[in-house]
Amino acid sequence: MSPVIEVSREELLTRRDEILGRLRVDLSEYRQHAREHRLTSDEWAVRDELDGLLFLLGEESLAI
Amino acid sequence: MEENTALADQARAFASTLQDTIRRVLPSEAVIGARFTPSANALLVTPLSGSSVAEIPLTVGGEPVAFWSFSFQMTLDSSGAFLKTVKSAFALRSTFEDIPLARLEYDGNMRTAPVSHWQFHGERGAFSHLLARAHAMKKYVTDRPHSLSSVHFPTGGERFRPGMEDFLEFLVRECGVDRVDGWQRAIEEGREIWRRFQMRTVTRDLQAEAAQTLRDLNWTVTPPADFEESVGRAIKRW
Repeated sequence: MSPVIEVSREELLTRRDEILGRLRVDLSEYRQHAREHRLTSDEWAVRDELDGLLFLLGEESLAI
Repeated sequence: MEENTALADQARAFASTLQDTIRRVLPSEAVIGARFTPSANALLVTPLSGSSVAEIPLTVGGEPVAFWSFSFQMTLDSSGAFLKTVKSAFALRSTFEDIPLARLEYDGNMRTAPVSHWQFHGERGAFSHLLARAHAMKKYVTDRPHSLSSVHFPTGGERFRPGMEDFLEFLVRECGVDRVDGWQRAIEEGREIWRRFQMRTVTRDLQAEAAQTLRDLNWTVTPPADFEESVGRAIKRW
């Protein structure tokens, strides 16, 4: 049976900030890198997870 | 609360179907699950490790060579009764680096690029030359001509886009990753479910076309009295 997990807004924000903090960029910088097709290797590693977090938070998704 | 239960039940069924297909194709114990936020009516289906997003290891001859990741971003549809995919992404990357090799993505909110497309992370000098010349005259052409990943290769639009099974078969047949006995049957069964679902949606989009096709096959089909043909945008956009 597949797990279905309810997550809170606070958990999502914490995880989002962890990811961006590790990359040392803020969300607007990350969005710009994605829009301009110049994500670094480390930024690519978290791209789908970050996009998923933004979706669950009801925020605009990343450019593809 | 009832809506949350319905959302969770459908999510579990959808994720279980994906998990079953993947485990019948790849030598993998991948867990596919969903995370959701009731307040945003949003649901994310991905491979999971505990409660975190995970990748699925791919092997050739038993040796790890690559990772496969995917996600389905879903909401309840306008009726509030069924899950709808608003965005999906499948990515293949080598064990050597984090930049993907290839991605197959669908985003129903795309404005100019095709809603369903492949993107390839590679270089090709002749293609870059074409794109650079075009961008010099037409600014809507990518301003990253050296980066093939900025080009979106269309794959049939919203209705005729590939399903997960197509990506799985690409991994097995074209990339040669290890698979388990019976893989082809699992893929064909999953693909049939996907295409039957899409067929129902296309039938709603093109009711007169569907009815005429059935009449041509000697069915008797009568339209409702108030029928007016209205072809949705999904049939026309790339």
